[in-house]
Amino acid sequence: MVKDNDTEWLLPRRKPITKDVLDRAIDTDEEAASREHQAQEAWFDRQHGTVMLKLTDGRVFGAEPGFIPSLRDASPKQLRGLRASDNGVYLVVEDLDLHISVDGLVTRIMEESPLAIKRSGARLVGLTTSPAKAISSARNGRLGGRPKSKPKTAAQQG
Amino acid sequence: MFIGAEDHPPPHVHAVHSGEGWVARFRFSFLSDVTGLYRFRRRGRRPTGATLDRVADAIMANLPACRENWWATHGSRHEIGLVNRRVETRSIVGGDGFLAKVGLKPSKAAVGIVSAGYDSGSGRTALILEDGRTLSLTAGLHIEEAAEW
Repeated sequence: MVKDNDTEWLLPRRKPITKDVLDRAIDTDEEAASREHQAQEAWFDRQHGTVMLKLTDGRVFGAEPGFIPSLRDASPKQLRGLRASDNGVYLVVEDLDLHISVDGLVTRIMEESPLAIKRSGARLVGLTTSPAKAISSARNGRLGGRPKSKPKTAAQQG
Repeated sequence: MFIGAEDHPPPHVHAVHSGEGWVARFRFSFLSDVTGLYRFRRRGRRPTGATLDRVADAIMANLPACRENWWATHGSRHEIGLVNRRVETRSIVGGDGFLAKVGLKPSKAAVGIVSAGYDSGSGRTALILEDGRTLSLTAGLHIEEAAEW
């Protein structure tokens, strides 16, 4: 029987920041940044009352402030100062002393779209297995299963 | 220095030096009094370790405020970096009467965390576990393991 090792139950303590620690943090950032949305530009579209951001990959996103919890109570005057940070990682609203993560915001806007929720819900339902599904699948299998796909004609292959 | 809105866990503070062109992210914990450099991006020269140590010391001195700010900003989505991790406990004398550990390599006895919350008034972190138990923990008196510290 393996006993608990007391050294594994010590409260963690802050370590000095060495070159290796800094190197690892740089690597972590580079790796993570390649998977994150970053803003090239951000602005408040007064005409449409919409927060707009152009991402570094060329896509443009927009949402009314009501969809962005941290901006729900912001006035149009305050939103006029909205801009992207130099590194594109966050949006800045100086008047509110507010920094908003661009990746978190874009992910939220997309994830909380009712259509996206509906689609991901449908996908999850499709992935779910159950005894009833297994029985149904076996029953369908006894009928011959899925029809075999026909070879494509030359015209279909283009 | 700031905590960003709409940000992802783990809980962290951004430290920006516009003049030298770098942004450092320091991770912190709702269980342990600790911080560690998590991500770092620069345009120009690297800062010295001593400079970053001073930033880390400032975060350590303000951990309750960091936790409060993170919880106020991200608490509605219950993102304090502990959900779906596993916690184990052992009895001790003093403190909360037990020690909780969220390890990097949890043992078989560890139980999954399904929900986590924080009360800034009392400085306590509450964990709801998948076996139905609730743990109420004094922030700073328990163990969260991380690669950054």
